[in-house]
Amino acid sequence: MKKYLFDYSFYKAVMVVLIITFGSCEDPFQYNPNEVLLSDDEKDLNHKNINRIEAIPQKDTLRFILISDTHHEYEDLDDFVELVNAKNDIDFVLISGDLTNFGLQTEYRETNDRLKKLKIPYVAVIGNHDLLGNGEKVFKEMYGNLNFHFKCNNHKFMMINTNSREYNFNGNVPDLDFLRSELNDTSAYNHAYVIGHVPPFNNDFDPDLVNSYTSILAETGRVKFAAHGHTGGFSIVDWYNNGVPYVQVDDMGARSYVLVKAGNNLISVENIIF
Amino acid sequence: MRKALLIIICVITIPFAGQAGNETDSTERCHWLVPDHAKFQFAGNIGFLSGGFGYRYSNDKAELDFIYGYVPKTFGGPLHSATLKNTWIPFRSIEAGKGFTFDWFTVGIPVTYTFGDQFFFLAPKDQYPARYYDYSSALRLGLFVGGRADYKIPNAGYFNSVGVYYELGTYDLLLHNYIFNFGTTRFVDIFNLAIGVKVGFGK
Repeated sequence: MKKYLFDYSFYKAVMVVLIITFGSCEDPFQYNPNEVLLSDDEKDLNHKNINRIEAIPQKDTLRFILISDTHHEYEDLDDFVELVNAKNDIDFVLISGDLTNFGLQTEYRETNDRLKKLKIPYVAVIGNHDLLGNGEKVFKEMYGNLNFHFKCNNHKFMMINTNSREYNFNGNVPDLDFLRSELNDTSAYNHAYVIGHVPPFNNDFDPDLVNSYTSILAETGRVKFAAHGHTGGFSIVDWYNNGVPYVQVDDMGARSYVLVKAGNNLISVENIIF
Repeated sequence: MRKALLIIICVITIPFAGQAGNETDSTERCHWLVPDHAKFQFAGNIGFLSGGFGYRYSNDKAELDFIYGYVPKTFGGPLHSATLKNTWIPFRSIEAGKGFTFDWFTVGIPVTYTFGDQFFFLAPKDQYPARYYDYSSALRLGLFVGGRADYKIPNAGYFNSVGVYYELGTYDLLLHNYIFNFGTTRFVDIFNLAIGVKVGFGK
């Protein structure tokens, strides 16, 4: 051993091993689990994808997919992406939160590295796990605003942060003013869909805002459904008997997705297991 | 440098020393408090740059370090963290002659607390039901393996050795996600690299 230590080739061999091991890694150096340092192609993804969605030409039937709670289910997500790429009639994918377990940048990357392989655009809304630690900061840089909306043909999609417990039920989450003002502008759309993570009938939703949230959704008569994740399991129920069905999107770990076909009327909402 | 540190530590500890003694007494009493080494590190999930001091114990088979780490804004911060790092050197050092020693295997556990209002040590009880989240968001438990080379400085003064080390490390949350993806993701992908310098103090 002694003679090798002064042999240059010994150090070269060590360097080769390190380079082979870590040269294949995307980030050989990490500074803190909570670091937020994204490359340009990882930034502002919702905005970039919404531009693609808004450019979709007018069509009779819009077909989109809802998924939720992808967490660490990388293998299932890989299969999902492959499955969707094999179809050619889907317009876009919506994710109703929990893209991560711990809100870490490295987890956001793992998820996006898979979803970016989709041929069609995807748009994400934030979940409670995504807000942990620096997660909110990562989400804002990677995807953008926590509350936003976009249009496709005459369909309007309201993407809302409903993770009230993460803000200790401060009365501002979900942002009802935003929801109300955007839905009340009925000149701009015919059909609306509200997508959030925590559903109003779950105890992680601000109990003081449940009545307002659910009645705002019913006010215009144009909200075709509200879709949430968080709870696991698929269901579709008019919980508040006001004409707005609440769709529960199952976890990615359950290997299922929700396929929506929407025209001038809602045609179908279907849970598909793969 | 070492003397200055000695004096500072002793001045701080004199009030707790019980009976008032003369300077020599308290210096001797405080001698064990003087660190055995300082370390400066690049990366490794305890800061973009981190530095601290530490002690050898257990017949030089283990080291305990107290480290402060910083990530500047341009590298994903600003983030400040404090780390308690224990390193074990289980095998006998290889004496390579000319003052060089080589530890081909080290293994360690760093515990890192990242400061900030957005992080909790434990999920606040007034906000979350019991066991709502399984992990602290501020406190990370790490694991690393590494190696190092040291050079003993001849006729040394206060600094009697200088060395370089590397560590391949991961932490609890990455291990968690790895276990749930066992067989489909590469183990090496949850590890990252740290490089550091160690300076030994004479006693």
